[in-house]
Amino acid sequence: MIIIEKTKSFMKAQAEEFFYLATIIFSGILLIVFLSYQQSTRGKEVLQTIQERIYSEELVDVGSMLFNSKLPFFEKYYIQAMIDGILQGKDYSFVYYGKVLNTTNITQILEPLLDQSFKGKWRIEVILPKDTQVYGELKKEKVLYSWENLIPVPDENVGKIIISIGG
Amino acid sequence: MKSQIIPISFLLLSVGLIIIGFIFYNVFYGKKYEEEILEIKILDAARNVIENAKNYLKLSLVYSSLQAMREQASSGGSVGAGPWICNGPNPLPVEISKGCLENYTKYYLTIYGSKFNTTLPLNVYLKDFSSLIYQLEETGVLNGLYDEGNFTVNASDARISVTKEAFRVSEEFNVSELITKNRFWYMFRIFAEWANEDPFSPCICANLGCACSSSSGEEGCSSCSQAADNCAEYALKALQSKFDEYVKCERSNICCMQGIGPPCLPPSGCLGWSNRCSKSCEHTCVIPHSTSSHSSYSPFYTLPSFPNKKISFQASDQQTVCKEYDCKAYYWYEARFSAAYIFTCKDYKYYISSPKGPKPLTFSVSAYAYFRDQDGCKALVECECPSSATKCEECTPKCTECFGEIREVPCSTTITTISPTP
Repeated sequence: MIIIEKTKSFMKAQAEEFFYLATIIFSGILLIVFLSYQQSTRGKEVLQTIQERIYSEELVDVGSMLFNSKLPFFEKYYIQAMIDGILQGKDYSFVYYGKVLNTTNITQILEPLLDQSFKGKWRIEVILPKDTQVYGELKKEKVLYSWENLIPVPDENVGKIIISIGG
Repeated sequence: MKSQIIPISFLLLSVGLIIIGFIFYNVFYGKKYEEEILEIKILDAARNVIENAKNYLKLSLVYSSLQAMREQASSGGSVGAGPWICNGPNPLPVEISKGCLENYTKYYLTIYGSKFNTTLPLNVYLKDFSSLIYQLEETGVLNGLYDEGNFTVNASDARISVTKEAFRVSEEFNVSELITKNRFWYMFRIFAEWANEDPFSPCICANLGCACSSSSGEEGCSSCSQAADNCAEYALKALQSKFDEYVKCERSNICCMQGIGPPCLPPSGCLGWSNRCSKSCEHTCVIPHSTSSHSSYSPFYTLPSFPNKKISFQASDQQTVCKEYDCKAYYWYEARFSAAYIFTCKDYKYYISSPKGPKPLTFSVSAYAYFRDQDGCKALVECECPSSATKCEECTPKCTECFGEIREVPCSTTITTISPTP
């Protein structure tokens, strides 16, 4: 009888220990799940921020290139050629720069340049006081990130350029 | 059961503390990092705005200088330039044109600068460029060093500040631009050479005689129209021959006047004649968009006070004498002739940006020649002599004393003094 009682007490103690152990493991798992969830949420945010930053930097680079790089031989800034093309009021892609320089095709120059980085998912909108032109095939609804800057327009006018990329 | 409550409570408390600790850590440290990130973001945005402004102003400088060059070229090298031929060579000095270009480029650049803003919730302040310089020298221009452009325009000492509440980023910067494929100074140089050779005003001077049939002191060209056109055509050919095949020139008449003046003034060569078709030879630069200064550049002078009177000659009564009068004298009166043309040349080699897209650079220069010659209309006329005269010197002189001889002839012959016509 005494043995049976002792055995019962031993089993009870074991069960209690097992219960404690289970509780500790469960709590640990709960904590790990909670922390992991927290971290993964933060991670996503960080990833999104980094991605945004990368895209934003790429867009700034493209914008800077349009403002600072000149068309070889023509020696006009890309953005200048785009503005000139729109202002001449005919086919905005082809800009005539005189008997020696002849004509440049601005679309033909822009496309490979931007496709390198954005694989067709880009759009450049040049807004002038009297006209607007769009380069690239990306639809406005599919735009994810945009960069914009003011552009001077002859004579003493101001326009805007919006460079967008999308998914 | 009592013994179970303590460890379970301890356990739950530990877990709770860890969670609370984590949350507090995130809330306080997270906030700190968030603030730092926000600051970095604002800094990034401010820097981007500054970079955008620099790009914008760099292109603005290109357009400002092109606009200035277009306007100056079409106004004869500077807004307010006088005639490059003004009774003689009078080319615009390089320094005036250069200074005027600088004034106008800076003016337009300031306008562009004032239009810069950003859509971001940031305040942007732009202090204008305090100096703008075209880096070129007169000798270089006249030697053809800048025929294709290749000169630098430097705008310096601008400051941009981007602020947001207590946050402020400020940068001082300069912008410079190399102007290429632009033949402003080429056209300037050729026009200067042409003006120095002056194929126009000597031609007008040589053709003053066309004005002798004028009926007043100052009138629109009639008998002199052809001579003026011929002189302009000759000057145009001389100009065209100096340019290369990419430049095409044409001429247009501004005004043409002719007239006659008082008789018997001391003989002279070609003198200046102030009339409605004469202009100040002074070259200046009109301050950009200053309306009051434009008025001082009226191409017209006030009319000379010389009355528009017909010059005629009184015929003397016929006299019958038994003498043959062969007395003559020189009579002259002033010839006046004035013509002005604009010579316009377009450069089709390089087109430059304009509000209507790339267009050829158009350079226009005016040439004025306004002359009078006090003995421009000269004739040898017969003198009126009294019947008692024995020598020509006793006859009524014209612009000179009478000369010749008085011969005695049989009285059956009748000699008549014929009145000269101018």
